[in-house]
Amino acid sequence: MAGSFFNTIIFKTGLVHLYWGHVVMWAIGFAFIYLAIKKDFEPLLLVPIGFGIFIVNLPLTPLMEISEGKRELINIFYHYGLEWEVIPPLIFLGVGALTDFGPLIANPKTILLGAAAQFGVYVTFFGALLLGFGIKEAASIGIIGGADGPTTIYLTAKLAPKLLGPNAIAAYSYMAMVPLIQPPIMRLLTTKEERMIVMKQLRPVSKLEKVLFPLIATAIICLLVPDSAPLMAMLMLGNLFRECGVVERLTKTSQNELLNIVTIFLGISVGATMKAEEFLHWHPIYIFLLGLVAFSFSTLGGVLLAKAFNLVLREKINPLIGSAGVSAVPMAARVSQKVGQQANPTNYLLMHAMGPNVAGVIGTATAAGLFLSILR
Amino acid sequence: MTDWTMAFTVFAFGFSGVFITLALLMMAITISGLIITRLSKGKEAK
Repeated sequence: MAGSFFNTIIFKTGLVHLYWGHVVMWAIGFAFIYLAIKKDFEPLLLVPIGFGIFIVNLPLTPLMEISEGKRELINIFYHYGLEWEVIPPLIFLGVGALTDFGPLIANPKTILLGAAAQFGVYVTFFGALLLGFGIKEAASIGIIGGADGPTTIYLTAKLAPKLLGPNAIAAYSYMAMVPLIQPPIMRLLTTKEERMIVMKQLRPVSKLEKVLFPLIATAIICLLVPDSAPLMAMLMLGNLFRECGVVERLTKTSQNELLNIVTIFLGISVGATMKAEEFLHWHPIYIFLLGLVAFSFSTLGGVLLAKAFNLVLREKINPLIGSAGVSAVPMAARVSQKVGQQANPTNYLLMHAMGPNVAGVIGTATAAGLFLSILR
Repeated sequence: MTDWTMAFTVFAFGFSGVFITLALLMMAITISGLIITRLSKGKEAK
């Protein structure tokens, strides 16, 4: 009797249920934590994601299951935050409150560079289909090319929730690697003379223009692509808070406390979807490779459209700013600045590149809305 | 089995949809910027 009692107790420990898959997932979680801490790879997301991967792969822990109809702790965050589509729009509220659309308003044609950068989304969409993913899964993988974490998570949670973990990790990992991925592509597609192009200083943008922008953008995009409304409306609400200047407390809360709180819940929920039993097969590896394709072709799309503009524009634009249409804000804009200065040390492209950079956020959310309107 | 017709429909509708939407946004911002700039120049002239 004592023996069977002892056996029962032993079998209630996680240790006896541990298998090699769990240990592999721990290593993956620790790798993300290492990259976040030591290499500064998107630490705000990769630390909670890495930890979420680790704890959900500790056997028998009551964290992500639904037992006797009751959700466990992290399942509650996941269900009400992601399945109910609350967290990504709240993150966009914070992003909008942090974003200055001034450079975009000053040079509106750079919005189209943000659209061109969606090229990578569709190349990857076809690549995923060729690798055997279903059409909804392919769309959720393709949106990684938009380089927008919340949009990737939002779309994946709706179309292919089983891919949430690998898609989110691919998106945030490649966003952190933008300074490595983009420059070779930018140099390959441009001549030194093109990289040296100096652009005219941007015109000043009035406060009225900045206040009207979120209202105009919301109206146009939500009327044309209603499925993008949860993301777009929250992005523009946050921006309106910022630009109107009379709700300082709401702006500060959106930029800081709210954004930080939902980032914690987002990271740990996404990490906790990556259980060994579901993650350890070929699909996540394909998704990682497709993520690289996505970012590369998005960069290509933006640069090529910028070059095409120069065939018709009198005042040339530096094609390097096209790569900033990949909406890793502000990293992609900084990469444009850096590569531009390597060709011409006196050239200052950062503010010009911010236009397509923030346009990419709008473009990706619009692309996600279009995927939803066709596929849901 | 992949429905390639659907896939190409998604691509065509999606990619052109993004461009059309953002082009309309670009026009709206350009026009509103011109109007606001003209109105403020008019106020300054007075």
